[in-house]
Amino acid sequence: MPAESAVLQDIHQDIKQIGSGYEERFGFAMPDRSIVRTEQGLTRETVMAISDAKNEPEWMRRFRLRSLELFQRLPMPSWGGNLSQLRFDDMTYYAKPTEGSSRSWDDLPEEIKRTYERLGVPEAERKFLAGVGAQYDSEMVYHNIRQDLEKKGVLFSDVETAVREHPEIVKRYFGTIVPPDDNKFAALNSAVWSGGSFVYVPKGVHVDIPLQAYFRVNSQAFGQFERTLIIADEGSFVHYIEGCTAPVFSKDSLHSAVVEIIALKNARIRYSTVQNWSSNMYNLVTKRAFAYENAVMEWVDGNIGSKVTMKYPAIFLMGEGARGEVLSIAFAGKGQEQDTGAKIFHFASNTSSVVTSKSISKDGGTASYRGMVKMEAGLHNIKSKVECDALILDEKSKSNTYPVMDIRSEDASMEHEAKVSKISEDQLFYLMSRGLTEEEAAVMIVNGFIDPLVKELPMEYAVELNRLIELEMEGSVG
Amino acid sequence: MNNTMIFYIDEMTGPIRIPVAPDETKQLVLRFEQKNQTAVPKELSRELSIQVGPGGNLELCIISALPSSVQNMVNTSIVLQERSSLKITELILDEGAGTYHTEAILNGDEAILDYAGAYGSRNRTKRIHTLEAHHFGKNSKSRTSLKSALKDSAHLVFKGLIHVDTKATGTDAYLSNRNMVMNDGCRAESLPQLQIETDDVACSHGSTTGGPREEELFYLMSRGLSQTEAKGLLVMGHLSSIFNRFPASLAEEAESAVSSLLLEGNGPLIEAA
Repeated sequence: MPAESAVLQDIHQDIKQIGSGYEERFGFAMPDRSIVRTEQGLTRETVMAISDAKNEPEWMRRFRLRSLELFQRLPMPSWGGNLSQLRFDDMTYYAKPTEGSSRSWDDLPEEIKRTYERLGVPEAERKFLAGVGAQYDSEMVYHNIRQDLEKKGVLFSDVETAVREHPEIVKRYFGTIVPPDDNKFAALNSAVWSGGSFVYVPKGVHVDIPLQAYFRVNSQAFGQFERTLIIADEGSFVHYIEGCTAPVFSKDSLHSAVVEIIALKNARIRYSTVQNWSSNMYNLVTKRAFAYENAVMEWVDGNIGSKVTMKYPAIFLMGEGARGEVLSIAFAGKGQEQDTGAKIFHFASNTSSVVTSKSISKDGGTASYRGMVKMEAGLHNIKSKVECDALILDEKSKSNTYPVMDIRSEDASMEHEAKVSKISEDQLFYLMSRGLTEEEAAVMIVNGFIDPLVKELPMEYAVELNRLIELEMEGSVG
Repeated sequence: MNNTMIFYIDEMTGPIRIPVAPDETKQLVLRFEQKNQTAVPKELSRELSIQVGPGGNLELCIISALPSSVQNMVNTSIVLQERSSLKITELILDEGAGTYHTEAILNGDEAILDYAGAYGSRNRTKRIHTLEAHHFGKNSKSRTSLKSALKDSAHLVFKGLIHVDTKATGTDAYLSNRNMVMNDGCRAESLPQLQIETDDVACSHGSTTGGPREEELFYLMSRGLSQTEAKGLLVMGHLSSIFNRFPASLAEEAESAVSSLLLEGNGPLIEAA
């Protein structure tokens, strides 16, 4: 091998070191020791049992029951991934792993603690996070935030705690960004939600290192329905990271979250996801943010695992000068459908948005970009740019692009571009002539392809994402 | 291109078929007009079927300018066999509402489709345009493009599709949609789609929507044009790539038809420029 590039040699070395598969790293399961567990299936009694277990106020119980009725009435989406195998009656909707949420890893039951240690969450917390929430099946078992941030008034807890301790904030925003009747899965989540994070950042406070929530499903044929509510008050900043994994089981599970985000005047919120569900997981999530005057909202959305993902993070630009950005990557492997994208609604003048989407499909996987940009009439100086790039790594795989642009304003500029291609022979040839095998060269090209996204993640996550991609790419030939 | 066929929509019965024999080369201009002002039916469906045999070449220009009393239901189906090519330029200035569906099947290997359409609309008309290229043959190529200029409360829905079948390796396809919104209150919806079922392809699409750019308007106005004149010039510039594809005699006529549809009451353009 020529001695010309040390960097190249390093990468070469890195790639060789990647060994273990999903099953060993993330796919393990612990025995079920939940202390409350609802029967399989979803009825009014299930919803009441969840509400009872949480000892909720009456208004929340009514909200749940109303939502259940909506869920039963609303139709399944007629588009997107194939949901015909999804069996609502086979799922368990609630499993409470511990009595309450803890602030110390040592207080957790041994198996749960071991799970998070294997996933590297406590270590990450020590090294580079300002706060961590860890959800195990239905409940947040751990929530902790650095004391200095707590003193500044930053609230970071599970949503149940917020319902008890800050009902005025929760009542004001909960269900207003994603109302229960938004879609069938938003209604489902509203009926049976459990866990998730509540974040409130007071005026002018900058949380300069990220907060993280880690969602772990341990049970089989299980539904996880966390609900996240993030409010950044005027002039504040927060970066929230979400990670998720599950054991590999033969029966399918369901993850259907609702994430509601409010960026008030001059605030900035960045929400990063590295979704790495096992291949028996339906991941059907509604994520939406409202950005007010001069606020900035950024979604960084990485979707690697799951059986079917349908997820389109949305930004409503509500105030003048608001900006929105979505960076999305989807990796569809064998038997996977990644139906992802972004929605941007311009409701005010001088607003701008950028969507960058990258997808990779291989081994018969299907990656689809589905997006929407809407600009209302009578607005001035609104700009949006959408770019979708897709790589198809073999002839069995598919790539679709379904954007919608609806423009009603003259003083607007909307640009959309998409392209689909395979790894070019020229690039492969170049790298192989430098001593890489075809597979290594393909991995490197894919890593280069997703680079714009990886750069936006904190270092440790970027490394993790790269590794995951390499893992998924194992055995593939460009 | 002197082979012109005029179709009077009020006299039309049944579909129009344009077959091109193997290795034949043809040039055609189709015009859709109205003969009898009083006898126009309210809803009109017209079918155009184009079949180009192996190695055949067809160059087709279409101009349609029907009054607002006509609701248009237009279906154009295209089948291209191996090594055949079709260059099609379509200018639609119909004033009524309607749906326009163009579907091209690139059945044979190495077939080439080059479609460019332009569309101007004013008042409260709603028009739905679909433009689909389905690639089944290997190494086939398509370039499809629709440009529009919208005025008043005109509403355009554009649905474009590039579909590449599992067998159609080596496909090279590009779809483009460029909409100019001339005033607030118009609405342009653009849905360009890609459905790609194999890997050895180069497929892309681009879509832009917006009003005349401020810096371009400013430039022209600094040269002495009024805002209306400057806007008019930019609209004509936006659609000029279509006029350039028409034979010279037709291009002039097409330009003045566009100008009278979209710039009426805006004052003379040529003198101003």
